[in-house]
Amino acid sequence: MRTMWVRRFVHVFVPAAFVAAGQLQVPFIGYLTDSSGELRAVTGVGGNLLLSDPVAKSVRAAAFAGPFGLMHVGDRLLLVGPGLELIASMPGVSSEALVAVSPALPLAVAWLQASGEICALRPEQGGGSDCFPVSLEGTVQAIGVTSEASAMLAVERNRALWLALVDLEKRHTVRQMRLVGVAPPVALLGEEILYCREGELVVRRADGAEIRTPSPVEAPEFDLVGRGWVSLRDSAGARWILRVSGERLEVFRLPGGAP
Amino acid sequence: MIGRLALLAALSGAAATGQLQLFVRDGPGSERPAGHTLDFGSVPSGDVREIPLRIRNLGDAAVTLERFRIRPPGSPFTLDGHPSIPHVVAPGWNVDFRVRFRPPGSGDWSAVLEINELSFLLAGQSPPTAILAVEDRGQFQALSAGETVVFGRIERAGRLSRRFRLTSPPEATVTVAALSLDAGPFESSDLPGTPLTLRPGAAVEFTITYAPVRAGIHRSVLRLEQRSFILEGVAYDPPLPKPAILLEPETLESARQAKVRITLPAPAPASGSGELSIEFQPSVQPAGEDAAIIFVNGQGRSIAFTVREGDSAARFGAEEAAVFQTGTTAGSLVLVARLGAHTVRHTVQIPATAVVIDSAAGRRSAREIEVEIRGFDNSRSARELTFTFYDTQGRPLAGQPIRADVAEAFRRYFESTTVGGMFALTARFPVSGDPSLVGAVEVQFTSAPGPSAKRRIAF
Repeated sequence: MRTMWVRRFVHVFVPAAFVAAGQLQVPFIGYLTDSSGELRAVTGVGGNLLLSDPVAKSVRAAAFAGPFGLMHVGDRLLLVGPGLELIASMPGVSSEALVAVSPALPLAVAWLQASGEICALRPEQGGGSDCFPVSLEGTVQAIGVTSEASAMLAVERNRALWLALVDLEKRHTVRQMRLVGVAPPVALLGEEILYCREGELVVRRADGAEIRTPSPVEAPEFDLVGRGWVSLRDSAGARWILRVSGERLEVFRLPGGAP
Repeated sequence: MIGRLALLAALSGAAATGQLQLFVRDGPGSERPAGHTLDFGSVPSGDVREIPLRIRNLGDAAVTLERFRIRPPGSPFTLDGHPSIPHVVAPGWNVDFRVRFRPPGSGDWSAVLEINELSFLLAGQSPPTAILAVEDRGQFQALSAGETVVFGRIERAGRLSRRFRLTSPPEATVTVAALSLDAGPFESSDLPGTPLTLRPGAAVEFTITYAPVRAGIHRSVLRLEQRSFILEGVAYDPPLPKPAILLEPETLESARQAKVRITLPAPAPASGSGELSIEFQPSVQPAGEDAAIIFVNGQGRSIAFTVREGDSAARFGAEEAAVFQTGTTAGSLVLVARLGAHTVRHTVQIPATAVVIDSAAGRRSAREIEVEIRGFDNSRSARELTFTFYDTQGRPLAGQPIRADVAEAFRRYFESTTVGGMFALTARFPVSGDPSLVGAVEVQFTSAPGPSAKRRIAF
């Protein structure tokens, strides 16, 4: 019966010129911040990547995924669109900040190390920020968005790594759980955790299942470049990019860097 | 001591006559009046000593120099840098020149310098000294102090030898008190020890060998008493062997990051540096630019490499291989390695293939379905795109597949892009009914090489 209903009532119409010139463009992946604070656009497909000339400077941290990006520039957090158009600005962030955006939700979050505050910025609300302190023991290593109303923090405490789920509406920590077998550096990709272990890059799903691939870097610095793309940087400045898609991880070398 | 030349004539003038006066230039900005005699002191036979002089017009009127010579002609004293006469010297002006003394043998020597009405005695001595000569094409050529003996060019670690001879003058016995060779790439196993006594006309020979261990221009000094002789040689590195280019993998296709290594058939006999570059010849139209064909660990389409002595492979900075992207355009990719005198080329074909879908995603909203496809068309010939929508049970919806002619859109896109065959395509489909009942869409391109692999996108 249901199939019949579909056949009867769902019709997919194709406009005559649906592939207009404006609908074909260079594949855009996101933005990458290098060690000198320059922000570059990343374009391409797997195995065929390009970096633009710097489009912004003095970028202290940045995360891009989907339609939004959150940048820490100078003493401001900047919520930007895919073309770096400014959506909102939050001043007074002079100390280190960890940033994250959701690839699917209109939500960006930041962890302010000095004040121990978490800030939520929502493009749909005009970019207004909502900051509140979170009482946590240890050092926050990474931040991620897990739902429209929650963020996850990876906290290093007593040589162990913990995940702290923070309710952004109720403004408190919902729960904390110890991550066994995971050590910094880590990146939080929604509810997934990216880390490096025994020469492999590992993505641990929320259900504990893991996918892995050989890592070109021993202890990389992670940056969220775009939806499903994370950059890796070694101490010598060489850069790679990891694509997380479905059940597969792929690592590609990014142009530039050593030698 | 043998007098070779008597004083020719009584000096006819004073050091200064009328408006002209002769000065000795002791150094830059320094001069002193010359006396009646210019004493060159003791100069070994074959050596040269110069005295810089200045004739100055101290009067209020111009003076014409009409006589400027040394008598007798052929004496060991010669003029250098003097003006040709007649030469007018304005009031307060001066003329600089030099007198050079090169004694041809031992003894006392003299001559007269005449400048207009002024006359000066030139005097010098040459003690009996050993004459140093170097063999040149079977003949020994006498050397002057300061002269350079060129050994020539040789490959590093090679050896070049020259024969030297020390000869006593025929009229005297000489004793060489000091003969030494400075440390460096010049060496001698039979350098005579000192003191060395040579009877009149006697000679002793020795060999100096240039044995450089590094490439470069080398100089050293052979010291004979107070005299120095420069030894010079040039060493160059042995030629590097012809490099080979190794690809990993050996066959390539578009959108790949491949490694390339430079290897040598034998350990490098010397260190060197070279460059590896990429040349690309597209085989499709419109070819356009493909900016992604680059070395990702280099600068654009070239990367420098180094070869260390003893190594059989080049290094790219700290890395053993260069990594390059093959781009997304079909054609011939030529890797060119330049090392020393060698230029090696390795050509690999990037075959035209069906369109490759790298990633695809779909989104549903209340009124439409959006499909985004990212991929590349390395043949630049995409002409049709087929969509087949399925319901949530995996069965095709009515009216499927939907075919779209994309040839013109892609042609215009490829004419303007500089990133090869990469593209991101967004297609939006208005939906009547409940879009949530659409479960998936399958997409497939058709281009000149054939249909692409189908990609199913679940919603």
